[in-house]
Formats: sequence, C-alpha cells, structure tokens
Amino acid sequence: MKPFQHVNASTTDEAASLLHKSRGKAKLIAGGTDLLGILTDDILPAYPRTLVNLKTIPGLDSIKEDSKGLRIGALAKLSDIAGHPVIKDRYPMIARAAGSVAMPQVRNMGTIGGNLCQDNRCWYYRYPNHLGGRLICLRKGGTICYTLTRDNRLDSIFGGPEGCFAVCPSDIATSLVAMGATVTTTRRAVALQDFFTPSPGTILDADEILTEIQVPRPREGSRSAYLKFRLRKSIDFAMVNVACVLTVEGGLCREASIVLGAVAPTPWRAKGAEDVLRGRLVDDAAAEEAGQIALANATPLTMNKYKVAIARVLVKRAILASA
Amino acid sequence: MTKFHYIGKPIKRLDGFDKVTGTAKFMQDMEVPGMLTGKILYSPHAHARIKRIITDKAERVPGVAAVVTHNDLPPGIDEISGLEPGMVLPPTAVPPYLFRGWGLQPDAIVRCMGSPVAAVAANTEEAATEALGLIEVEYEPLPAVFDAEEALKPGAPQLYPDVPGNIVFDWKQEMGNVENGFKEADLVFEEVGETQPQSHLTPDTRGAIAWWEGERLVICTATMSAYPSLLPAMAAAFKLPESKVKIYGPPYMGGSYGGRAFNEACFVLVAVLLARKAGRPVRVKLTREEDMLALTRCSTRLHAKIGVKRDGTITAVEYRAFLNPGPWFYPPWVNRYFTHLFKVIKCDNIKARATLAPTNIPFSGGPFRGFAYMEAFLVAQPILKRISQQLGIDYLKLLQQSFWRTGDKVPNGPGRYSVLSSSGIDEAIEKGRQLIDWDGPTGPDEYIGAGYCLPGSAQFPSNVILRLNRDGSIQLETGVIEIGAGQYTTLTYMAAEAIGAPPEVINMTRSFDTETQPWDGGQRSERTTYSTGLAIVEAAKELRQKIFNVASKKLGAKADELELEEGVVFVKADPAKKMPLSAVGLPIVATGAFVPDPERPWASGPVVSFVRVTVDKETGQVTPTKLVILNDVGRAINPPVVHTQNMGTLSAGIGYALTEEVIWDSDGRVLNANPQFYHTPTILDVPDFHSEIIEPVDQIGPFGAKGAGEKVLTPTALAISAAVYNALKTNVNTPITPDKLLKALRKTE
Amino acid sequence: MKQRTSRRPTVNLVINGNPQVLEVGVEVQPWHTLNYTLREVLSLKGTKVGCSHGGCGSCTVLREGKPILSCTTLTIECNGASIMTIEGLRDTSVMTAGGMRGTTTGNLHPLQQAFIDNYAFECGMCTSGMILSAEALLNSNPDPTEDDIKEALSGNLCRCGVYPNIVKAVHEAAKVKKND
Ligand SMILES: Cc1cc2nc3c(=O)[nH]c(=O)nc-3n(C[C@@H](O)[C@@H](O)[C@H](O)COP(=O)(O)OP(=O)(O)OC[C@H]3O[C@@H](n4cnc5c(N)ncnc54)[C@H](O)[C@@H]3O)c2cc1C
Ligand code: FES
Ligand code: FES
Repeated sequence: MKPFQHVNASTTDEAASLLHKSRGKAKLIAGGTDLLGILTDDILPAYPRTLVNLKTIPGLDSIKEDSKGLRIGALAKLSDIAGHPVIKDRYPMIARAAGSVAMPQVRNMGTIGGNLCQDNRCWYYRYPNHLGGRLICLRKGGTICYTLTRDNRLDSIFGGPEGCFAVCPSDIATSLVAMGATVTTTRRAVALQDFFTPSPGTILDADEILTEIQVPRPREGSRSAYLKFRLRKSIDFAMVNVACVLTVEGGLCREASIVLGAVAPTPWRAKGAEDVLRGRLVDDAAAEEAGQIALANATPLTMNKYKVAIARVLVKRAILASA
Repeated sequence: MTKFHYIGKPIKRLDGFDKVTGTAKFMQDMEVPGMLTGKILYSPHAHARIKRIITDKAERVPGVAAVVTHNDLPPGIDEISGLEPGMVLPPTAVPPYLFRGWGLQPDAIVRCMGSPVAAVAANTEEAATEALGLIEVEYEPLPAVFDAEEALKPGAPQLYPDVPGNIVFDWKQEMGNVENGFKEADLVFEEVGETQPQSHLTPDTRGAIAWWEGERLVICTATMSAYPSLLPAMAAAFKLPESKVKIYGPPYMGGSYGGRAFNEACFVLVAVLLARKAGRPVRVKLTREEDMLALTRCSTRLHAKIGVKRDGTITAVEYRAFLNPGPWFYPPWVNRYFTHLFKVIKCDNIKARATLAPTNIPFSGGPFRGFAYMEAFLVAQPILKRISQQLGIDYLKLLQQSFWRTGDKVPNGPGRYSVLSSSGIDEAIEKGRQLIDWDGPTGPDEYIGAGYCLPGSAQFPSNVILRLNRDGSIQLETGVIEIGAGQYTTLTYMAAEAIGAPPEVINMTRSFDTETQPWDGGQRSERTTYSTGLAIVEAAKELRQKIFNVASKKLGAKADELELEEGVVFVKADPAKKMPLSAVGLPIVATGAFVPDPERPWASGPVVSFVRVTVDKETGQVTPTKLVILNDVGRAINPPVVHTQNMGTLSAGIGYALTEEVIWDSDGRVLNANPQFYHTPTILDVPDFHSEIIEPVDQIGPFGAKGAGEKVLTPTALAISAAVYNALKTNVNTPITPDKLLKALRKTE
Repeated sequence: MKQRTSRRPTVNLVINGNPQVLEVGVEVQPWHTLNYTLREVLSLKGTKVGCSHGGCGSCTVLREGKPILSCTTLTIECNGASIMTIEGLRDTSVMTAGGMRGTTTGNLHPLQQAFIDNYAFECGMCTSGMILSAEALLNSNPDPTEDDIKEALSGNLCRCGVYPNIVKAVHEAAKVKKND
C-alpha cells in the first residue's frame, strides 16, 4: 500500500470534523476488509492522505433491543450480529444474511456499517492499477461504463439509472431493506431504502458518518427467508440474493416484503411481486407468479440473462420458505 | 512377490513437522542480506510497440538503485531455445524460445496486457512503487488477436516476424486409413469443444532472489525445472558456462501443479537484470494478480469427428485442434497434446492435426497437473456420450472399448509408438462401477458420470548420489524439491528399501542446488517417483556393491555372498556373521542415473473417476455429491500419500469442471486476477470422496511404481461433464457455470 | 533492551504471549499490515501470505482468539491486542528434536499432531491458517460436527485440495483435546 496517515477517532463528532477539515483527503476505516483492498489495488485516482479509524469510538458497536426493535451500532461486527442470540431468535434473517457474508475471518473483522457503505465490486472499477493501469470508468469521472461493451455477466439486470451498471454487493442491505430498517447518520435519519443511490452508492456526504441501524420488530406471525446464490459455498459475493418477509394469517398473505440484491445498483424492491401475494393463498402457483412478476421488468445485458432466471427462482423459493 | 521392509505401507511424512509448526521455508520466506525489492511495470496494451521509455525521474527517487528496460537485455536473448534433452519436435516446429512472450522483449514490443515493460529495484517497496509511477512510456498500439483460429487467418495481426502466419507448430499424423474408416461407419458424429485457461493459483506466488558475485550468477527461486530449463537459459543469456550459474531453491515449494515447470526464465530474468545493474541482491516477488498473468493452462479448441457402427465399434477418428498459448509458446507441450489426442479413443484409424498459434491473450499456455492431457481428453471424450445416447449403448461399455491396454502399441509423439507395460483399467472400471452404484437408482435431479484418462509422462533424465557416512548414516543427494506431493518421504523410503538401510538413517537434501546437487529433470509430469526412483535404485546397487567389497574382508566372505538388510551386512549363508553399517568405517560415494529410452516399454497408469452430481435445472447449479477415484499407480510407495494426491487433484478437477476460468475482456485484460473472483473450491465445495489404488504388476518402474498424482484432475472434470450431459443431453464447455447450463437447457427444451 | 527515549507513539502487542512494543514511524508505518509486521519486522514467517486481498485465508492469525486475516489488518489498529500465530501453538518449553523420524515431537499441539497423522497437508502453505482457524473452533466448540468444521474452515483455501483429510484431522484433535 502507498503511504497514508492514520488517526484514531474517539467520538463521531471528532471523526466527522476530521473528514470535514481534510476536504475529501481523508477516508473512514471500519473493519477495513473492503477499504484496504481498494487501497492495495490503488483503483481510485485520489489516494487518501489520512485514514480515520472508527473502531476506537466507544459504544459504536453495540447491539440492543428495545420495545421498538433492534438497534445495531454501525461498528458492530458481522460475526457478532450473526451469532447474537436475540437477532438469531427474533430477526433470524439478519443473522442469516450476516452469516452468509464472505467467510469467517472477514465476518470477524467486517462491520455492518462498512458492509452497507462498501464500494461496488465491478471488475472494471476494481481493475488494479499496477497491472497496466486503473480504468477511469463512468463512476470515477470517466465517460463510459465498461460493462456495456464487455463481459457483463455479473452486472445489473435492472438498468443503470446513472449510467453505471455495477450492482450493490451487500448481502445485509437486502435483508435489512426487506425488514424496513432505518439508519441514522451524523446528519440525518432515513429509511435504509433511501440511503442507497446508484452512484456513488450512498447518500452520505464526504464528511458524514453512518452511526446506527434500526430494525423494527417483525410483525406478530411474520416469517422470513434469505437466500443467497453464489458459485462457491463460501467466500463468494452473491450473484443474486433475495430477502422475503411474509405475514400469513389463516393461510392468506397479509403483508409481503421482497427485496433482491446484486441485481441492480441499489437493493431492488419487488413491489409487483409483493402486491400479487397480498390477500392470496401462498402456494406454488402464487410463488411462481410472484417470481415472474418480480423479474418482468428486467432488462438484462448481453451476458447476464441467466441472472434473471436465477432471481426468478430465488424469489419463488424464498416465498415458499417463508410461507 | 518380493516382501518390502519399508515401502508399500503408511509412512508419516517427513515434512510434517516443518509444515505444521510454520517452520517450513517457502520462496516467500527466503531472504538474503542486503537484498533490494524489485517491482515490475506492466503494459496497458495487449500489443504495442514501445516508442520511447524515459526512466530519469524514476531513477532519482531516493532509495532507487536500478531501473531496467528492454534496453538492458543481453543480445540474442530471443533466440535462446528451451529444447530439452530427449524432447522430439517435428522438423517444421519453431523452437521453444524461452524468453519470448511475457517479459521484457528485445524488439520493444509488448505482446499481452500485463507483460513487463520495465522494473525497479529499491531499498523499500514504497520507493520502488513510487518510481514505477514515474516511468514514462510512449506506446504505439498494434492490432491484437486473441483467438488461435483467428490468428491463422490471412491478414491477422502477426506476433513475431520470424513466425510467418503465426504458425509455431502444425503437425498432421495418420494411423491406419481414416477415409476407409469413415466409409465403414454407419454414423458419423461431429463436435466442437473448447477448454478454458485455468490458473494454477499456487499458494505461494512466483519469486526470485538474484545476485552477481563477479562473473558468477546466483539465483534462488522455487522452480520445478532448474536443471533442464532455467540453468541453460540463464547461462546462454549471459554467455556463462553452466558451472558459473548457481540456482538453488527454498526447502519447500508452495505448490506448483505444473505452474513452475517451464517458463520461469522470463520472470527470473527481471531479478537478474536488476541485480546486475544495482550491484546488489534483488528480490522480485510477484503479487497474486501478477502471478496469475504469468502462466495458465493453455486455451484450446478441438473439432472432432468420429465414425461408428451401430454396435458401437468405432471405425475412424479425426481431430483438428487449435491451441492458443498466448504470446509465450512451448512447442513440446503441443507435442504431448498431439500424442494424447491419439490416446483418448482407441481406434485403428486415427488422424489428427494440431496447430499452435500465438496470440495476445494475457498469459501463456503451459502444463497444469498434467502435460496437456486435460486439453485433449476433455473435448474428445465427451463425444462418446452422444454416441452412447444415440445408439443406446451403456456409456461405460463404450468407454471400455476406447481404452488402450497392456501390450498395446500406443502413439507417443509424432511418428513414435510405445508399448504400454501394464494397465489396471478393467479392474478400475469394475470396482468403480460398484462403488458408485452405476446401475443403481439415482435421486431426483441426480446424475452419474464417469471419465478416464491415460497420461503419458514426458521423460527426463535424473541423477542421484548416495553417500555413506562413517557412522553408517546415509546422505541422499538429488536435485529434487518437495512440491507437496511427498517427494522427500517417497524418495527417502525408496532409498531405504533399495539400499537395505532404515529410513531413519537416511537424510535427503532439501531442494535442488545446481552447484552442488546432481542433475534432475524436475518434478514434472509425475516423473519424480519413476525417474529419480530408478536412479536411486541404480545408485543403491553401486553403494551396496562398494559396501560389500569393504565388508567382505571384515566378514571373511566373498562380496557376492553378502546381503544388506535393515542396516546390517551379513553373510547370506550364515546370518550370524554380520556387522552394522557403521562398522564399514569408510565414507563411500555411489551414483545412479536414469536415462530415458524411447524404445523401452512405457509405464503409464490409467485413472478413472466416477461421480454423482445434482443438477438444479432452475438455477443452473451443479453440485457433486459423491466422487470415486480409481488410480493405477503401479505400486503405491506410500499409500496414504497417493490417496492424498488423489483427493487434492480431484478438487482442482471440480474447480475446472464447474467454477474456474480466467476471464479476459475485448482489450485482452484479465478481469478476475484475484482469488475473490477466481473461484477455486473451498472446503464446502468438495463432496464425499473415495479413493482406490489399483496396483497391477509392472516390471518397468522402480518397485513397480508409476506416476500418481496429477492425472486425477482430468477424469474428474470429465466425469462431472459426463454427468451433466446426462442431465442436459448435450455437452457444455467447462466451466459448467449456471449461465452456460441454463442456456444449454433452453436450447434442448 | 532497546532504549526508548523518543516520544513517538507505539503499538503494543502481545504476540504468542510475548509483549512487543513497536515504534510508529520506525518499526511500524501506518500503512503496514499485520502480515507485513509479523513476517518482515518480527520475522515470524509461519504466517503466510497468499493474496493480500482477503481472499484465501493463508494469512490467518487469531486476534483475541478469533481468526482474522492479517493481510487486511493494519498493525497500527492492533494496539493492545493479543495475537496468536502458528509459532505460538507448539509448547516450546519442552523442546524435543523433530529429527529423522519426523513425528517424534511430543510437544506438538494436538491439532499439529493430528495434521501430521492424517496427512492433512501437501505443500503446506495453507496449513498455518487452517490450524489456527481450527484452534479457534475447538476453543469455542470442543465437540464440533463435520459441518461445524467445514464452516469454520470455509475461509481457508487449500489449493492442494486435501480438505477431507483436514476435516479428519480436526475431528481427531478435538477428541484428543477433550481427553486431555
Ligand atoms: C473475500 C471477501 C469476500 C466478501 N464477500 C462479501 C459478501 O459475500 N457479501 C458482502 O456483503 N460483502 C462481502 N465482502 C465485503 C466486506 O468487505 C464487507 O462485507 C464488510 O462488511 C465491510 O465492512 P468493513 O467494516 O470491513 O468496511 P471497511 O472496509 O472498513 O469500509 C468500507 C467502506 O465503507 C466506509 N465506511 C465504513 N464504515 C462507515 C461508517 N460507519 N460510515 C460511513 N462510511 C463508512 C469506508 O470508508 C469504506 O469506504 C467481502 C470482502 C472480502 C474481502
Ligand atoms: S493473504 Fe490474506 S487472505 Fe489471502
Ligand atoms: S496443502 Fe497446499 S494449499 Fe493446502
């Protein structure tokens, strides 16, 4: 890695002010599992002068439950979330999603905040500088998104609103959005769904810090399922993931929340599929139809039609698993 | 049958202690006092001429000791051929130029993206990296070609002025009469298939430390072919006698799988040039991404045509192959490929033509756990699946018809044949059929497949030295490095058996050293057990003779009346008359050699894999659930190690069949040079597995041993692909990823 | 002992039970990874490096008993941490010679012995990381199932592919540890 300075922050205010003063030259580090890879490959034209360490801020990694629901500090580790008894018991989908990230070591290091704020994994964006030079793609201020004319098997099947077709890689985002999570930053509180933007990825300002994630208590009688499809059973990012929360009463679906991940630049809510389930008996036919509807508007690129097929099946299976 | 004292039973590995305690030294752990760090600048173009390269600013960075470019290359370097002793090439083939392709090129042309254009040595990595960023290069991009068949077309971009038409190797051979064969056929099947490049992803990446001691060059690197390839290459490059180039290795090699077998010279040269200019030792250690660009399995395309009678008799086979090695080409590899093509399906009438054409894809075609078998078998054998389906003949039966058996004259290189010394194939098939329950029921979405491969070890000479110490202990000196397959253990125990001394008193030298250790052909093509083993047997004979000569006086018997067992010399007729080895009292040196002889029958063991997989036809995911490997190894010197090799190679076979591929874009840029996106199997991806050793009697190898390890990869990938065929009724190119599987399914439905 | 007169900040580590004080700007730079510090500064080469990108697990060490990747950890962020590497596993207070028999090493940790006894390595490059991931597992779960073992080792790639033997070795070590 090229040189940088390193500062341990002791409060979020201090961290925010360090970011502010650096005028874009400082970068936050949480678990570092994403950031250090980016710095090693030197993929961005601007290399940070300073890293501001959030791990030294007391209390930012707490996991608590109160009457409203779950509150997870941005610095909570993925392994702590996956293994937390309350989360496993009452928010099992979040534990599942956290436990599906990467591999045990990364989960012992990576934080939930870092997971939600992680940069995308597009292999043009990530092409290492030392192998002949980084690519200045649209997302880095260039003029083209390379996925459009080259291998795009991993990219968006729901378009690229800002011209970039890289997908949001986070596993946890999918499950949290499906649970109706909200987040708090040093500047605002928003629904997680609105936290994500196609490019640069989140709404965060350069000096803004994500501090907490809130998850409302699941409705009485609701059930959930999280499915992740990947090539290998460990280490790999999702090719597609699906989170589904259903409330079924007397055999009929009252509420449905279905979100797909790794299919679009932000977590993708399958509104149409949710609508078709409400008030219906959740059986094979309904699940199948919901899957069809969820993917009806897909606009795959030249090499990723298969992701449409997988996503459709995953939606169906997730619905059946949570019915 | 002879009774063995030491071999043939489970032996704990001698490298165990070092490896479980973290004290084993690999290339990444090697250091030399005062060494500098070398870093390489890579080309952003797949094909370009370097018009100007300015290094002044880089040289002025504090801590930088040397910057080298193509201008620092010794003259004539691109004419150095790597043809090794005993290698036969068709007369029209271009020699295997060792320094061409990936690496600094004297004609200032880069021929793949990620080829070195300059390098820096500095006292810190930070300084070296900073300096790399300050080197200014002006390129004139040239048109590039990425496909071998395209490269052969008129008007295609030309890679080398002295290789007109990009034809490096083009060879045709016919056995029997293929035209007549097709006339006899009731049906003719045709198929085109491809094999993808596979990264070795050796756990340790390439590295070298080099320095000069006046006119003497010293290199430390982990290679499998120090003596046959790297040593002559370096000596020729710098016009030094081989005796003035010392190449030694770390005690252990962090995986090779064939990846450190042949094209080491381009890379090592960078360290050597930097060291020469800096006047100090320089270590160049490639990062994982750099390493992945340096060598992969070759990419191939094969057109196959097979004539059959309705009863399944194969009457004619015709192949047309296009091989894409990237800019680094190695004709002997094609030679092997060509040979293997003839072995895939046994038939009286076979015709083949293979053409190797260099391209600008960003890596170089080389061996991978097998010297070109995968590439030949993986495309040619699946055509039998279609035949079996269409004619309604059991696939195993058809497969069995296509085996070569003991005594068969098997094609072995252009225009040459070898007699197969033994083959346990029928036993393997029978056992495998039962173990996988071939005729038994299958679960929902479950399919069974089988694959077979007959490897052919390329043969290289070996030498060993045995030294008896005065205390009765013995030094075994070889040029062999432990690559993980248990070489130290196997060879030590073979020596013990051949000499008649307990393994505990034998010490095998760790690694090779061209200055002090005898010449060895390298840990390639499963040849170590066989070739070095035979050299050990010969040296042991000489050592025993010399020991008997000394002991005969002391024991008052003739030398030929003596025997040596378990470290005790005794009179055969009167075992009470005996003495321990320590009583010999003299240091004794003996040598042994193995020299390959093409006329000698050929010890090659077939291997068969059986697999059960589940195919999720909705998502396209294939999951192996059970694997059975049956490996004819002649004799297993250390059975658990053979099982371990079977198991290990199988995992790379699963990877090759299902997930592993190097992906490049239309500019020739590798997109997944990173283990996150290059999917080699994890512990959760490897199924339940059973390994069987088949040991037919063989008179050729040392104690009847043949090669064991690498050949398992090919039949495993083949078995998986055959099982998937059963699910889809069509062949899918590897890796059989969900996108391809779903596409194939859409087509067949 | 080196005199520490300067007022430079330090990174205090406990490595395999031994305290280490590293001066920032001298022995540790802010951008140094724990892998670099262990291997190049402290010469603890048993921790391997395979990819430097968090993708292979060969650099695994234990921090506060949990497996982490030393290649994606900054040393400067480990101040106050307790780190265990492969070198810390063997009980060296009763050093015996490894010697020609190769297995006559009574002071090996049960996992190390089990890896030898079950042929759970080939080239040996993944072995340090595998053993440490397994050690963390056995400390939190003395009686793991096969699935537990596979899950715990799922971030350690073995390119030589000897996974089945590794599972056997961990099972065996678990038994030995329990009976101790
Ligand atoms: C081999 C490998 C496999 C992986 N597989 C997966 C996978 O399957 N699924 C998945 O979801 N992820 C995966 N990841 C990504 C992994 O890095 C994240 O999941 C992890 O949670 C990131 O957390 P971190 O704390 O390490 O983030 P860091 O690397 O510390 O930070 C990531 C980014 O977020 C910013 N950031 C961090 N915290 C905050 C905050 N509180 N406020 C504002 N900005 C912040 C940082 O500045 C940085 O830009 C994988 C990573 C690796 C190396
Ligand atoms: S070297 Fe750290 S994970 Fe590969
Ligand atoms: S033993 Fe070689 S990688 Fe595991």
